[in-house]
Amino acid sequence: MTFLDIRNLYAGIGEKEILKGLSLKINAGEVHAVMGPNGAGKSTLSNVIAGNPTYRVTRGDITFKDKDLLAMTPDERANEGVFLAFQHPTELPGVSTALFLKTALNAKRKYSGEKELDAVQYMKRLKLRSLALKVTDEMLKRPVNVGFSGGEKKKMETFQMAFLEPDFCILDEMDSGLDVDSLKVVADGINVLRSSTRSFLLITHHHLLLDYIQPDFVHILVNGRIVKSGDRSLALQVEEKGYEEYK
Amino acid sequence: MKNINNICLLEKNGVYESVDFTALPSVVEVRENEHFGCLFIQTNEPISLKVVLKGAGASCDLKCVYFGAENEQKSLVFDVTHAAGKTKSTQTVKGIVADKAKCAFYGTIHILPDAQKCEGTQNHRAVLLSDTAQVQATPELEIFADDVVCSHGSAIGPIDKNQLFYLLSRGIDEKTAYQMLLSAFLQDVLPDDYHFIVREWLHDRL
Ligand SMILES: Nc1ncnc2c1ncn2[C@@H]1O[C@H](COP(=O)(O)OP(=O)(O)OP(=O)(O)O)[C@@H](O)[C@H]1O
Ligand SMILES: [Mg+2]
Repeated sequence: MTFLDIRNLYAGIGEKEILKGLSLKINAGEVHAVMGPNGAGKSTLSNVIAGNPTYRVTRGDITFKDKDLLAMTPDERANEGVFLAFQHPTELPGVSTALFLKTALNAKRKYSGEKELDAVQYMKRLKLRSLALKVTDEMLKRPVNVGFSGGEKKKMETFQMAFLEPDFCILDEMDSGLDVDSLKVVADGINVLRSSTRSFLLITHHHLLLDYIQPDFVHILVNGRIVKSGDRSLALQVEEKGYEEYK
Repeated sequence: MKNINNICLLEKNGVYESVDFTALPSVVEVRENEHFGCLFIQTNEPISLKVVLKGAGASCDLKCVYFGAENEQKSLVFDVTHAAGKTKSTQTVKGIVADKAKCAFYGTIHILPDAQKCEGTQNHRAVLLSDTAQVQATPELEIFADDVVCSHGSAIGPIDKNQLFYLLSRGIDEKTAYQMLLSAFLQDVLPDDYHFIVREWLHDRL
């Protein structure tokens, strides 16, 4: 079984083509990092995998655990195990975080034929994950993401991920806007989730995140395609020399 | 929504009590320093309410949540007259409209010449769930006194697609996601006990 296989993907918004023949293969248990200049198409890639209907796929295909991912609705993808921690998380005024988390968790359990968690199990899981990611009770009481600082939103995204325990985690610039201590907290939160059955796609501009979460592979995405792949040393290289040579 | 008729709730000491709309007088008069508050949940028949703030310091708070679907055509009329000084009125109207339904809201605030130091506000918002749904909001301000504060606003638009995608991306199905967002939209006007109506109304849609 191939975990995630993206083949020759073309996608864009309206008439604008953003991804232009992108291919990427990720095996179970691997951590891949994607770096690239602003506007290269990194967030487009993460949104296309998650099924954001704003983006149009014009060519290519994506299989996830050998299933046709592009044929699935966004909620099916999530329940199959795809999770996107957004670069810019959306605020949901009037939607309580508690209700949101419970609905998402139960949707997934229902999809996998599991029973809903009872109140005690649920609270245990919530406590475990929120403590680890320093998400406070006060944050959990607010409507989803409303009034959160940039850094708090990022913590909340990572917390949701830890809470829902997906198989494939895409983190779009999880390190931007985080102070040094929070970065460490979030990185630790991600590291404890690493396992032989769970994979990660980390989108970042900085090698620091990759010092904390050591990736197996680093890819350079420029102008809608992956132009170079390598190990962690590639991250340091681009941080020194920039992307000029790949343009 | 075939099995739910219009609901009329009257405010009594801060809580709502369900009443028969036809039992209301054709013009509600509010006397000195008294308050009239009501909330309509409009699912079918047209609603028209006229309120006159007769005595100094009288106030009213009119709310309505309306639903439109299929080929329904419905109208809501709120007509408030400030006939005395220091009177205060608010109109808060929120609608959810789907399919080919057409909904109209006429909200009027009259301020008579002697009614100084009045405050009248009107706020209308509607969510359109299809390209063919229509909402028309017609505010009318008729002000004959000079020392008054009056405002009105209306916003009509589709559901926020980023918010919808955020919920879907967490594994929540479309119907539930709509329900969560629409309940959130109505949260400040609709008491918790009545959110089941959103669920029931959505049940036949999408
Ligand atoms: N809604 C949109 N309408 C038009 N163009 C868009 C839209 N969203 C993104 N784009 C364009 O698509 C291109 C790729 O955007 P994308 O967000 O994928 O870049 P990115 O690699 O994530 O950049 P960054 O590092 O700044 O986050 C950019 O040129 C951007 O301006
Ligand atoms: Mg981006």
